[in-house]
Amino acid sequence: MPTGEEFAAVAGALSDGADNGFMITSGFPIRQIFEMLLYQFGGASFTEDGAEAAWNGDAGVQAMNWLLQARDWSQPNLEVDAELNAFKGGTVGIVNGIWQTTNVTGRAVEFNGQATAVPQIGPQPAVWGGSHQLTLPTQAEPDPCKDAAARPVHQLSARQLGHLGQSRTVTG
Amino acid sequence: MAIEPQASIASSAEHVFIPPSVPGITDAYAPLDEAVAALMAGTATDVQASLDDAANRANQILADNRDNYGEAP
Repeated sequence: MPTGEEFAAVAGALSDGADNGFMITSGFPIRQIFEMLLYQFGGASFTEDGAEAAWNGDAGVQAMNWLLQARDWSQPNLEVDAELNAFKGGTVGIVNGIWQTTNVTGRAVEFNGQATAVPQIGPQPAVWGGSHQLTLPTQAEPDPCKDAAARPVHQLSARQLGHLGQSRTVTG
Repeated sequence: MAIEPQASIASSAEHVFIPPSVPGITDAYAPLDEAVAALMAGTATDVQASLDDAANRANQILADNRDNYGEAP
């Protein structure tokens, strides 16, 4: 992982007038980036039992303050996805997720756009993770009507639809 | 041959954190979404107060979810 110092040095060096070394908006995935920083500063979103929120401790304040100062490299009042469009224009660096790799790397861009691990801003390495799950449980007492209703859902899961992956061994 | 971008980001896989496996946990993130967005947009300026408020609202949602969905299996 790139360190926070390396990240700040590059972002600062690339920020010059109209160019932004790093661009950040107030829209998705800003909350996930906050959580990444929260965990890197030693905090957590929830208590271990998932019973209460825990993002309002010192680590959360540190995480949020880092994000607020990162706006110095960026521009105010950017609309959601502004950073993606700017990145594709080859003028900024960004933090986003693996769901964007086909959109902003390889053949999607005219420059040698590459992905790398998120920077380690805080003392601990951490990166946000999640997934989409579409599960069709088996029924203890199968109902033919519900079975028929589930078939379109099966068809949906049998195709690659953006975030929905295939798992034929599960749905087949 | 290394497959990209997986090869470049693989080192991150050891340090992933994921949402708790609690029924309805997604609902509890909504107050945090709002707080972070408001602070970044400048419509909220007190970081501690915003995070505290979001935590309090999330805790109510978590309690309501326990009533509706029960505990995680």
